[in-house]
Amino acid sequence: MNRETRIYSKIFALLSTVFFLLVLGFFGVISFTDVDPTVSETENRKLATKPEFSVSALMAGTYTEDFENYYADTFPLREVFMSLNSKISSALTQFSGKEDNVIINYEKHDSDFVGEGIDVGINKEDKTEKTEEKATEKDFHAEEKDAAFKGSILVSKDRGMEVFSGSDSMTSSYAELVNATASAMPDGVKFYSMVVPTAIEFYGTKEFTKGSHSQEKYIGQAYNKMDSSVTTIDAYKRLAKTADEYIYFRTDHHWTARGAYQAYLEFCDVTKQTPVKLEDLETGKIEGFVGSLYKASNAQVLKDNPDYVEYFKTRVDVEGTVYEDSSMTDGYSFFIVARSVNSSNKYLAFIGGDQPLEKIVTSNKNGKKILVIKESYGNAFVPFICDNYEEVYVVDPRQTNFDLPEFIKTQGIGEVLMINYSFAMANKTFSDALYAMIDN
Amino acid sequence: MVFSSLVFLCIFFPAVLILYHVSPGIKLKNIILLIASLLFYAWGEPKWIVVMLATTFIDYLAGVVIGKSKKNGVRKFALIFSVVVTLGFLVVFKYLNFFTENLNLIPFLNIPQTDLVLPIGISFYTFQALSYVIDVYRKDVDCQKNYFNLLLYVSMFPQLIAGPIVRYVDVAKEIADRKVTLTAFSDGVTRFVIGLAKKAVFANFAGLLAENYLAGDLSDLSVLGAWTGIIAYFFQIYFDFAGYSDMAIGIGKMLGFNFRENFNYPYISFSITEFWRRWHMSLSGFFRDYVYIPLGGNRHHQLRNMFVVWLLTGFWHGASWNFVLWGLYYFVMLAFEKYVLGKIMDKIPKVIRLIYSLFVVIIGWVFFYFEDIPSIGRMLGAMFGITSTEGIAATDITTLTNNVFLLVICAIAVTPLCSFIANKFTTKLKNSPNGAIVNGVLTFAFQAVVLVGCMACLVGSTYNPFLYFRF
Repeated sequence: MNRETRIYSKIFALLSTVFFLLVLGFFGVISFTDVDPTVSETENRKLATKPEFSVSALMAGTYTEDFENYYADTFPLREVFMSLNSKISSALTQFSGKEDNVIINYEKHDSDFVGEGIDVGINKEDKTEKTEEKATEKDFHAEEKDAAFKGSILVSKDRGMEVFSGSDSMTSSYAELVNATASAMPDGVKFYSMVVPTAIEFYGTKEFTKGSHSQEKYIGQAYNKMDSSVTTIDAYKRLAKTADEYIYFRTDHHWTARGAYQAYLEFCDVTKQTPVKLEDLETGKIEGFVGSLYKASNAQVLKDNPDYVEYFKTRVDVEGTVYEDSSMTDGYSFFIVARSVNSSNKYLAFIGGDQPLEKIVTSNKNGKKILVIKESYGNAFVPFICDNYEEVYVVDPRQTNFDLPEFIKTQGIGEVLMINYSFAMANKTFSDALYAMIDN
Repeated sequence: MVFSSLVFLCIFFPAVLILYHVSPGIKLKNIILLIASLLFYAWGEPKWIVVMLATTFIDYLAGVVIGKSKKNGVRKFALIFSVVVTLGFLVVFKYLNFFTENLNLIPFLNIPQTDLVLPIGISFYTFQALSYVIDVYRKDVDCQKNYFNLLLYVSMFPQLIAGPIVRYVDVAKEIADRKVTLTAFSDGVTRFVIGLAKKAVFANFAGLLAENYLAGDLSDLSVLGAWTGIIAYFFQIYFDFAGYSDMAIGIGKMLGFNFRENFNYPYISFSITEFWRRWHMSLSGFFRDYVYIPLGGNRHHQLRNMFVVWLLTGFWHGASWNFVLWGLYYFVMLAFEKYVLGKIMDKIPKVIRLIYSLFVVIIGWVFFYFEDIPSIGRMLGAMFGITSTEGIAATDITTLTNNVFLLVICAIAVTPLCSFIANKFTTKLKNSPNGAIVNGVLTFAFQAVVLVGCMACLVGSTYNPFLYFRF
């Protein structure tokens, strides 16, 4: 190595030394002088704040831990680094297959299993202020019920879909639940069961719709295992036929009102009722809905392509009241269909989300009363049947517990519809809760 | 603190480096390094730092006594005393609950459990302190007369919490006197960012893939899913640990220390014997020099000696039966290679030996990952199609296609290919002035791009575990 070469090597060594110290030091210094953001718009969450210093927190190790979280959350140029990270991440772990399909595994502890509803307590004061028709989300208590489990989401182009896996034991235990519920009903009550497939059945790639992933197969199997006293309502066919319409959200695991309307048509067919026409209903859109599938997957493509909630008001006049249980005291009014939702979960537009017990009285004077047992999939469905009944009762077993057969008897309810989406067939929280209501 | 935390990277580390290099004289530099190391440790372990200080103090006193005394009895007593006390701390903090828990399985026995948590890095610094006292006893090195210098050796932050297990012999001279040239510093930067990338990019992304499969319900695993998961973990643990060692060595260079290598491409081994010459070399070296050879090495009772070493190696990794099994698994494999495969090993084609070695290592990681025995059984069952639900689940192919790039570059990065190409280039370039410029630009660009990329990964991802932290 000659002298010149050595000098060059030294210069570059100096350069990299200085650069290394500067880059790291720059972020160190700037982080002490800049103004810390408090919320992250992109992640839709509150950022950590600077922890209070105390000797006890220091000794317990929580101070340093909190400080690290705070530092990472308020790091200078965080958003820039975040987006660079997501580029690196997608280069490494979302290597574009031929169909842009990505599988995202996630831990789930959210609304599906606990339920999510508007805060009816808020409406108590301004019950009369009907003109606003706003739904505000209430705090749902995911943590305390802790129904965490793992799932996979397939992100295909701009659509997220939960991956369904069925089994014989799943349909058996679900049919058992339906049969037990049906046989617990008072004499003369008509009992319907509807299991709704999810989006992946119609928009998923082939490997996710056949074999153990075929919802058609397992829904059919569940129906076959049900007693003859249960009238099954096959929503599948109509949904399959209208799959090119906007019947499922792309960023959320629910179906849209349009999807629910297809199921309603089938319901009317089977129960020999005249369905209301969609064109006859006042309609509108709630824009900017980025739903549960984005929250679970963090897939940027879902965030960039939000859904909208299309709602259809009921044709008849309706008056809805939420109760904690069958004692039906201290009720709060709620909107069957809200025109705007004060929460990121715009699906709360339908019957105020998941509430313990709802009673809807319509302007129909036909004396027909129906009770719907449901999780959140039933929410988009319920508004349509209001046009065919005088009273509609809605029960979410996860939110309440009372003697259901007794309640049906005292209210003189003649028909019961149990509506679930295919994933609920395997949901122990739901079945345990419903068993508790019929074993009273 | 860990190297892959932003507080370390952007506050602690640059501040220490600047203070360190502007301070004149080795004495002041040592003081700064010592204070920095204690702060570094206390940040994550404010309470049990006293254990480290005490251990070092006892070993310091023992070292002085052993070094100064001419009487064999006194020297021996001091050695035994310090070894017992030093290991005593490790046993109390790391193994006591495990022992009592297992003793409590005996009917009518109910020894209360302690609520002690394992102090960070205790397994590493205990071994460093031990090696010092034993080396002084063996007269391999002079005793350290200054407590703070010994404390600097034990607590030095680059290697404090996850190794490499540095021997006092190797750094004694550098503690007394050392220099950092610009080129050495720049080499240190390169080494550090390579280590950071191994950790923040390779290990973390491989870890996410591994968790998808291994952290869930094992009875749902398909055969392909089980293998994808464990292979991802196979990459994660290597990049996590080797990355940490790279960062330690790189930081050492920036401070004027030359630590020995800890990993030498273990995943290109052609036998398990070779694997253990390449994996966590400072640990296997420790057991070789302070357990295996004193027991008689390969001269007498070789099988017994091997058994003891591997039992201890397993147990060192954690106070849990799975680590004991993991150690004994390697004892069986190594004995098998020594006594059965032995001579025919050379006749087997290299490809087959490589596949065999990787297979054995991958199975080994099953014992390492799952801390409860039933899960190990379920995982192995899933891998070999006994308990798995299906061969290939629908999500498997998509997951595999998505991660194919990650897995391929991981596979390349465990081989010496990249460093071979880089070395070839630099040696050629370094011979001419123009080449030196090109080399300088490339090195600089490499450091900058990797550093910024790693920072993005650290800022952007919430998943940043650190596997060897708990040992």
